[in-house]
Amino acid sequence: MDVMNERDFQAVSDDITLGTEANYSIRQLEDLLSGAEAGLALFDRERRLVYANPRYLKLCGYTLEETRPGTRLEEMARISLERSGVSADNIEEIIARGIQRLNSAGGYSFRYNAPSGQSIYVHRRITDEQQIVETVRKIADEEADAGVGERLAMMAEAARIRMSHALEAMADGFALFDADDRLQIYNRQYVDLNPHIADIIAPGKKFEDMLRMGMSRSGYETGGEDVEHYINWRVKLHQNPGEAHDLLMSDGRWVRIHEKRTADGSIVGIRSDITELKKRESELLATSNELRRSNMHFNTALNNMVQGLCMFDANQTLIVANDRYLQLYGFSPDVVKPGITLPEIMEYSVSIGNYTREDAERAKAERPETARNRSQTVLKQYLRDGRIIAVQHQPMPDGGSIATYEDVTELERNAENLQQYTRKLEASNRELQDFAYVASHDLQEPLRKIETFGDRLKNKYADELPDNATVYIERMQNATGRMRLLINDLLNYSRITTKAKPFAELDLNAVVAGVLSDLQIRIEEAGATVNFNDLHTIEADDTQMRQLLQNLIGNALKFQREGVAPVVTVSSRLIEGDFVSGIPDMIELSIADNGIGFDNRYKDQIFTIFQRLHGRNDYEGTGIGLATCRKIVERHGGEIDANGVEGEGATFTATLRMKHKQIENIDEGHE
Amino acid sequence: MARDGTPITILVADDDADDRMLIEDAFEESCLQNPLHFVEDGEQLLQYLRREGDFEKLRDEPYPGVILLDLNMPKMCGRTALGKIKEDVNLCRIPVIILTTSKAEEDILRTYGLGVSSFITKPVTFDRLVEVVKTIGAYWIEIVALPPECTTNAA
Repeated sequence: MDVMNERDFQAVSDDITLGTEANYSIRQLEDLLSGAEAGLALFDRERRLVYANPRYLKLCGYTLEETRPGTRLEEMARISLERSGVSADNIEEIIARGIQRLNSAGGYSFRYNAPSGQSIYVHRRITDEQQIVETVRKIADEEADAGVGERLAMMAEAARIRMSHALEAMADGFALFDADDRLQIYNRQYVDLNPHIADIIAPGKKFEDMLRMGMSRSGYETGGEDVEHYINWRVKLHQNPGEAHDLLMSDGRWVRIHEKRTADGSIVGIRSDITELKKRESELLATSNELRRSNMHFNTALNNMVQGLCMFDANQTLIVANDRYLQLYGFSPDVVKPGITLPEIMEYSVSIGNYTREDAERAKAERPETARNRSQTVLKQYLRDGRIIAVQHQPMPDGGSIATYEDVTELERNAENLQQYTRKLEASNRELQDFAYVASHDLQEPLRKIETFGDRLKNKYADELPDNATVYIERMQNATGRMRLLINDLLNYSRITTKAKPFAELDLNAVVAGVLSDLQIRIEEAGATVNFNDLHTIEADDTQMRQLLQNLIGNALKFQREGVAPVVTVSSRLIEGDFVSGIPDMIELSIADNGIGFDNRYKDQIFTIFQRLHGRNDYEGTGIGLATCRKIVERHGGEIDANGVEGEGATFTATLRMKHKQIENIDEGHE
Repeated sequence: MARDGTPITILVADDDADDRMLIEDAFEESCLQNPLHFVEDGEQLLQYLRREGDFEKLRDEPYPGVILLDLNMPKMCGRTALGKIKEDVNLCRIPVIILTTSKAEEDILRTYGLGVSSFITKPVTFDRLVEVVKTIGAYWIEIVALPPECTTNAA
């Protein structure tokens, strides 16, 4: 995560700034004290040395060893007095009196000939925090008056105030613990950062005691850790300070603590409020986790795609490519990786034999066109191994592009085969229709001649012909009559497609009424009853519907039982479709009769052209009628079926679409 | 019957020999005495009318009074021949009756547009054909007055 790394760096440099600032503050303080003209020493309320500047050591004649932090004031005085040649009895008395004066008067001054040989002026004073500040000044020969002590005291006070101001001016909390781990110096910010123990923070308090109090008041978030364990860890860390560490306060603030042990064994602590920093950090972490997760998902998705995918920047440099892409072209992931340019990829592709240089050049020539159009393009790449890759370029707003690659070899071949097959089928269908139409059309001509000359022969030479000849002529003419029927039926059959009309709203009641009026004479002769009512209105070819009903009702009248008055019932019912599944609304048209019926074994045969169940002598017919019916029904998007019971009757059912899509309305005929 | 008593000539253009024979029979049956001439395609028809080639010898004869024209013929079809006749100032006044197997609306419209006098679909039976021929005879020969070039010598 590039972004994250940058942020991390930011955070680290923040730390550096913080650390530098803290170090600087301590150093500044030391400079302030060590650079002072006066010797300066600070003792805690137990009169242990906290700090002494070099000038103090020099004026008083102490060694470094003798002024270790924590050394008691009495101890140091004893060394100095011994060194000055004061007798042991006097030493203790002097020390005791000094302490008494300090406690009673809050401070005092005295002259002293230090072991260093210097005549010095010493001023001791107890502060509000019960610390003891000792200032030492060299007495110049000309300065022997009493006013000097007063001035020295003022200087010491000024130094103390300056130090305190410096500490207060710091943005961070500051605390100084002596070697005994007692709090010596601290600023307001330190108290602010420990609000739960603000009331007990005071000079001389031990670190561990303050920590325990803080814990008992739930000032810190231990993350569920055992309290003792936590305290042990924290104290140890405090006493052996190393890296900065962060602490979560129960009020939600984060405090970063830098602790450092100084040369004299004190512990200096700088506390910074890093709540904002932490907040940003955790936000960044969350963002980065989210990014990492989505990146993972993205990669998983990318590498499991069926298609190859590449992303190029505006300079045609590869940004990302998935495994499938490499696999499709047989590319090595060591070559085709982010940073390679598209022309380089093509060059490489040529070198491993995916396509020829000419192909690549041509594709390159086509690309600027694509880039300029800024629109999605799809092109087919014909690899030398015979595979066909469909490449789709999708331009991106930043000038780059995304390309997807799909192996469409199989698809293309199937489509090609299908197209070829369809073309062949269409051609053969058309030929067949042409043949049926032309044949039946042209057959009529010679047939007309045969009929005519037969007529001529019979009429003109009737008297001269023997009886037998007349019979032959009659048989010939019967045959030609049948042939005329056949030809007419065939012509009708072929016209279902060649002379089809567009579908239009059609009331089937009207169609049936028309058919019945045509069949009037036959109905009367047979004494038949034809019932119909409430038939549907559908979209259909009116001529063909009439043809269909004429055939079916005609059949019902034709195949009647001897001595039974034919009853034919025409009815229709709606079969609701399903819009969602794309099943259209249909009607089921039924024509039921009480005629001779048929054996259901033959029900598939009866719709086949030229197939007949009965001898011509019993029932007339060409065997084309029901085939024509089936073709009409199929053109209207339905199916025809028949059910018969021998000697009882037959029911023909035709399903027909209520409505047709516009495209199916187009006349399929071409003559 | 023409004014000078000479019966008008009837020209039949039909490529079908059977039909030519049947038409001849029908004329005989109808007792029409008019000379009946036959040509077998559009080209012959035009040669006949223009008295060219084999038909030069008819140069002095009057034009046929009526032409019975079939549409579907080899070499030059009836439609083309009809167009040429109607374009020809000498021939355009001769009445042309279409006698064909076609029932196509397109043919009917087109030929009337070119100026035919009647459009008759060939009857299926001989009896009907005889009736048609009788009607033609009664109308075009008995009733109608024809242009002079069809009734008198062209010379």
